[in-house]
Parts: sequence; C-alpha cells; structure tokens
Amino acid sequence: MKPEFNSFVIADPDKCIGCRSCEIACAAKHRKYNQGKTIGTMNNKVTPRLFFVKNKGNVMPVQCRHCEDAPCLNACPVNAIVEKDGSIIINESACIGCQTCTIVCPVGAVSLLPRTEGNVVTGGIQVKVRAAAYKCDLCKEEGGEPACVKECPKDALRLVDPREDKKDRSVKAAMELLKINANL
Amino acid sequence: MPTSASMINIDEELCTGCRRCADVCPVDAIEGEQGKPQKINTEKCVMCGQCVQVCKGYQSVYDEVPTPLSKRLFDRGLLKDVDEPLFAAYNKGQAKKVKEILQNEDVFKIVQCAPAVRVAIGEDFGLPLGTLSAGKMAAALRKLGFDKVYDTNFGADLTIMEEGSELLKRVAEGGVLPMFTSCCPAWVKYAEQTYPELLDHISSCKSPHQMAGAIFKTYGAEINKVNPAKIYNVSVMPCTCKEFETEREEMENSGYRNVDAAITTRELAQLLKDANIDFNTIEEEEFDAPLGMYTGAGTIFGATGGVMEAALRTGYELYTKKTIPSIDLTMVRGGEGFRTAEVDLGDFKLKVGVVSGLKNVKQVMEAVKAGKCDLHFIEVMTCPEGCISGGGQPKVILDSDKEEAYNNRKKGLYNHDANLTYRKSHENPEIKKLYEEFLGEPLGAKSHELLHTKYISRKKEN
Amino acid sequence: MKITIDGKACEAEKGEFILQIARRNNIYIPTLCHSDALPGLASCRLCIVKVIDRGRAKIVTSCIFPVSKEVEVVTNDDEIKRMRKNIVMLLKVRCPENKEVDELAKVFGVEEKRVKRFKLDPEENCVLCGLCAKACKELGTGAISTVNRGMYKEVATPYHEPSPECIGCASCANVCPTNAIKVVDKDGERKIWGKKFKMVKCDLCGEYFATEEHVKYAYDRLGVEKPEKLMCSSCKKKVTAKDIKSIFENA
Repeated sequence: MKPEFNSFVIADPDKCIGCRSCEIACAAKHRKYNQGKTIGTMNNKVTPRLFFVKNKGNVMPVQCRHCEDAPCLNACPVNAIVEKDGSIIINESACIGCQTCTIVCPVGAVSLLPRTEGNVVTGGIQVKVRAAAYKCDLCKEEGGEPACVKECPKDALRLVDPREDKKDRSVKAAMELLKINANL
Repeated sequence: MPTSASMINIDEELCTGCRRCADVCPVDAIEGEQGKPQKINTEKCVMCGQCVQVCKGYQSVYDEVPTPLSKRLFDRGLLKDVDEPLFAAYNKGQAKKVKEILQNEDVFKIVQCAPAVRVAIGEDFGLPLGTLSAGKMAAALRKLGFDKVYDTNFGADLTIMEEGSELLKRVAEGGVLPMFTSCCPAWVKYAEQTYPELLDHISSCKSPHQMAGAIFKTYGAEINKVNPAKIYNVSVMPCTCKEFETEREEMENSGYRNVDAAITTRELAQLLKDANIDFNTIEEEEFDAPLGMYTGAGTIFGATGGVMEAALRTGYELYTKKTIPSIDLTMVRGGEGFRTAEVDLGDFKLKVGVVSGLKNVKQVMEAVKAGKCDLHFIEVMTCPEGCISGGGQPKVILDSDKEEAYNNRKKGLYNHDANLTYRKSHENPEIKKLYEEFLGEPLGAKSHELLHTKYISRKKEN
Repeated sequence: MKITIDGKACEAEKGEFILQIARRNNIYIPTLCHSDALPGLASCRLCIVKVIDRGRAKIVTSCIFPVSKEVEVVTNDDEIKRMRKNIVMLLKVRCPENKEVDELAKVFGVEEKRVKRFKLDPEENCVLCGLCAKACKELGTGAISTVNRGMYKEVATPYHEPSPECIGCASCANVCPTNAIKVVDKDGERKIWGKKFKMVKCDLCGEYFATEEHVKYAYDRLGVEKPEKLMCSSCKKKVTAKDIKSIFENA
C-alpha cells in the first residue's frame, strides 16, 4: 500500500516578522462574490484560514497540516469536511458551527469565525452573523498558488509537497555518497 | 492650531512590531523594537501616509483587544458605520466634520478633487484598478450635497501659470536656482525641518488646491453672489498630509481659510457609502463652470513628472512664443527615483529634474548645498509614483497588485489628458478669463496676495 | 439554461433553487430561516418571489423552488413588497422586542399601529423557523424539536426536561436567526435548555472552552479515547508554533 502524503503550507519561524499580510491575503482571496482589490471593498469581518500566533520570541502563522486520516473530517457530524485530491476541505456552506472539529484538531488549525451568507448589496439587510469553521484549503477552489505563500514579504511561507521534498533529500544524500566514494 | 501631532498614528493594540512601516518611511520617523508596538516621531513625520498604505496589522475577529470597535472608530475620526478592516497605522480624518457640514443648509459648500482621486475612487467600489471615473465622481459629489463641484485641476492650471512665470523670472533675473515645486506638503515640511537654509529655493506658489480655495472665496464668491464668510471649501485629496497643509497659518486670506477641510479619497468613498450613493450605477455629470474646467496639463499633476510636464508645456510656449513640438514629454515621465532631462528653449537649455520618493531628494539637496547642482527646476514628490500612490488613496490589499494599481492609475491620468480639448494650462479659457477679469497678470499684486505663500524653519536648534 | 431574474438573464442548472441563482448574480432576496448548511425549511416565507410561467404568475419561496424551465422571476414588485411587509408585521407581532426582527421591521416599513392591535409577548424571541431542531438532528443528538401544535407550538426538549441527549454544543444557538436560545457560561458551568454542564478547562491557560459531554461526543465519533490533556484552540496554536520553532532550530 503506497502511503499518500498530502501537501500543506508551513511557515519558517525564523523568517516570519509577524506582519499578518498572509491573513489579509487569505481572507481577501476567499471572498466569494467580491473581487475588489482595495481594503475599501472588504468588510471588517476578516476571516483568514491561517492564524497568527504570538509567543515569546516567536511569531508565525499556524495552519492546517492536511492530515492523512484527518480527525476533523472523521469527527464532523454533518459531513461538511471532505477530502479532495489529497487536501482536506471544509465546505463552509455546510458547516453548522458545532465546533466538534476544533475540539479534535491536534494542531489548533481550525477556528470558528463569523460567516455571512450570500452577499449584502446596498439596501440589503445583514442577517445575524453566524459562526462557521475555517481552515486552510490550499486555495484549491480559488486556484493558483496559495495566496499566503505568494504575498509573504519575507518568503517565510512555503508549500510543502512531502513526496517531492523526500525525493530531493534522497537525491542530495545520494550525491553526498558519491563524493565520499570518490575520495576513497 | 495645527492638529498635525495626531494626524498619523500607530495603534498600540494592533501593532505587531513587524516594522514594515519603518522600511517605507522616507524620513525614519518610526521608532521601536522589532516585535514591539511602534511609535511615530511626530517631529520627523511628514505625514505622507506610506506607512498607512503598507500596514497589515489588522484588528482580527479572534484576537481579544481591550478597546471596542465603536471606540476605535470614534478615535480615528471614522463614520460610525464604516465597515472596513482596521489597521495599526492609520490617519485621523475629517470625514465626520464634512458630513456635518453637508447637512448645514446655511453654508455654501464647494468641493474640489485632486487629479489622482478620479482614477482611484472607483476602486473602493469594486471597479478595476485605475478606472477613470471623473464624470461619476462629479455626479456623486453633487448628489452628496455640495453646492458647487469645482476642481483642483483648475487650481493646477493656475499653479502652472504662476509657477511657470516664477521660474522664467528667476532664470531671466538670476534669481535663486534651482527652483523646487511646492505642491507636495510633505516635501515642504521635510525641507522646513531638514534644510531650512534652502527654503528660498522652493517656489513661493501655494499648492493647487490652496490656490483654488483662495479663488473660490474671492472670485468664486463674486460670480456665485455668495458672502465669502458662508463658503466652506472641502478638498478631496489622495494625500494624508493635505489636512496639515490646510491648517498652516499662511493658508488664509482676509481671515478666511483657503481650504476648510481636506479629506482623503478613501474618506470620500466612505461618505458616499454612508449616504447610500451607488457609485457603480450613477450617471456621469460635468463639473461646474467656470472653476471646474481644466486642461490635460492640470490632470497629469497626479503622476510623478506630471507637474514638470505641465510646467514645460506652458513654460516652453511662454518663453519661445512658439508651439511645443511634442506635447507628450515622455522624458520626464517614469517611476520612483531621480531623473533629469534637458529642454531646448532655442537660445538656452533648460535643465530639469524629477524626484519621486522623498528618500531620493537628499542627494539633490546636498548637491544644492554644495553648489554643485546645475539644474534649473526640480519637481519633488514624496510618494513613490507621485500623488496616485498617496497615503490617502484606496489601500491595495495585495502587495503584488500595487504595481498594477500604480501603473493603471497613471495610465488613466495620461489617457484623460490625451482626450481633453485643452492640454496646456495657458490655453484654458477659464484661466485666461480669471486673469483678465480678476487677477491681472501672473505674479501680479493680486496673485501675490492670494496665490503665494512663505515657509518657516522647523529645524530644532540643539 | 437561462432564467430571468428582475430582468437580468442568469445561467441556471436544472433543479437549482432560485435563491442560489439570485445570490450568485448579486441579486438580493431577504431571508430569515434560510441556512446554506440546513436548507429546505421554508418556514419564514420571507424569500417569496413571483415566478411567471407561460403568462401565469405564482408566488413561491425561492429557497426551495427548483427551476426546471426558462421562467421569469420578479423579486421585488409592489405585490411582493406588500406581502413581505405583512410577513414581517406578523413576525413583529410574535416577537415585538427582538432586535433582529426589529431591524427587518424597520427596513420593510412596518407601522407600529398594525402591530399594537394584538396582545404582545415581550419575552418571545423564537420565530419557530425550525433551524435549531434541524441542526440538533443533523448532529445526531436530536435533543430539541418542535412540540405541540397551533398557538402552543414551541421548540423544546422532551417534556421540557433537561435532555440526556443534549451535549451542550450550542449549535442551536449559533444557527438561530433571532438569538432566541440562551446559553449561559459562568464559572466553568454552561446552562442551556434547562440543563447544567460541567465545562472542560484548558490545560495551558485555564479557560473553559467546551462541555465534557461535547468532548466525549467528539472523541466517540473518532472511536478513540480522549487525550489526558485537553487544550483550547488558541493554546493548541501556540504549542504548534513553539513546536515548529524547535523543529527548525534543531534541523
């Protein structure tokens, strides 16, 4: 049985300066009906899918690891979390905000944030803002490079493909062996 | 009393100490340790607002901050229904004051917008980056309740008349050269606090919106048959420093402030949303004559090199009495930095320079101080690509979109210029009429009184 | 296929509901009991629109009306405006002091005098939409449902007693459009639907973040034992960040 390793995004804590550009980029990219490019087109309920953490001497964003056999997927009672092409995706419109996934996630990658359904145009009424679960979806639906990786001013975020990474390391190790062999 | 001390601020509760603001600050006014909340040194700060444009330290829905949202909105001078993300670096605005004035029936409200506003205001309503929406802007302002929708571009044409004449006078009479432009208030403040000994190099002209404001309350009062005491001038600017400029002591005539309140492009968008004006569907309208009529030269002020190009279009023709061979002076257009060019005026070559990005002016000032600068006229803009990249412009969400935004805004201005009937300031019929009926001659007594100003040293003597 | 909503041509798949199509095209239709996660209730009737098919018009609820042919939809003519105003008036009669209903009433211009004709209950906040009962059912707990009929209809636990099924997750309160469900979290104890729950303390920061029953429910669904140390979401993030930093340091 070939194990499948899912891709995920990870931040380098030594490069991160804690500017929060990743959160803003993530929330902006995931707006469903709104393609405005300025802050004036966003509302103040910014819902990123990766979360800025401030520890002593350490700032960085934390996000989903897209676990194989994801606990969140298994725990969700309404089947709002699905697996698509090796990524774990929350179908936000199916989420009832029960928070079962946030309890079982070992990393704390899922957060409960406000969710506005549909879009409210001028003259519309804002329905009571409900909460739903949000977590990184590798920008799979929106397409393209993950927004956080693209926008980070210090290139601290990177998309890790475990199989490619492993291959690279194996190649490097082989090259080292070659050198050692040559010197014998 | 200038309230400049609190114009640009950093909210301690939201600042993460990343210091990206410090990286873009042209005068190193932002102080603090990496990782701790930053502070702005208000004596050094020139209020250009680039820090406001770059800051991403926002108030998130999951962080607990002590100050509630309503108080934060109040402290920032924002209208209470503003529904935008709030960031650590912010500028305190005059939107509330303007909203109040708009409800006052007794006041004769005049509004003017900078050239850069018309290519950016649409962005805050979802229109593509750099969309030219001058007609919609005029219609929206009228709907908002302003009695007259005049324009800063008219003031820009007026500035060219005065500044062009001033340059030619200095060249002919051996006056102080090089002459620097004076329309960027952040640059002026920088010069006052860092190079006060070189202040007589700066043009004595007021900036376009101040000139326009002075005319609105004199000539404008006459033609509208309104008591100048009842006129309230509002400027919509892409700039966070313009409010500081309007509060300068010198910016008044006969006891009336030239401009009563300056708001930014973003604040105008907020006012329109507050009044439920749908910018996307509003029909285009014209600006009010005569003081809302402008040329392409006035329009390009918003881009770096634009003031220079406008000045050259007029300066060339005033000096040589011949038509300029090419109206598009692409050699002064461009991007951030310092660029020079030479213009052949027949019997003499005019050497000009354009600085964009205040960091780049230091080398020029040092050269002038050492007597090593042989340029005649230098345009200085604090913001990287000129006013279209100003601190009060719609804030682009993704840094990767910034270049496109700036390029499109500039293109919008140059396209607008190319399509206007009049493209040289001295050919503006309303400008000609203003001089004939009211001002007399450029640099004449009336101009001197209303349209020129002086500067003060702000250097700390230690 | 294409349908017309308020004169605008919109792409539609056969079987799609009008509300979805409208939202996709930036056309606003007010809703109250609609939730993307718990669709199909159609109890509030606020989303009504007029469907014109072969010259005949009928009023339907857009949230559950599937399009099967190229019809014309009108979302906001005078007749619909009048009907919506009446619906909101009745909602206001039921819940006169509710904030969300009040906002609706303001927007639809409901006159006070039409509401004051009736005997009003200022304590009532529930509009009987049924979202809470549906959410609880989806969870698998089914602790609350609508009971009784007619003017005695209400949402409650069986016999109004604390339900053994209730895990105190407060999903019902989350989906309720009028904030009618009271959840009180105090001193490590949660009170909801007349039941008291002991809450779990975060091992790191000491904040109470979930009820014991909810945690058990979560790990039961995974089929594993719950871990000894439980942390709240914020602390989990902090520990993750610390772990990543030490991994990078030791690499």
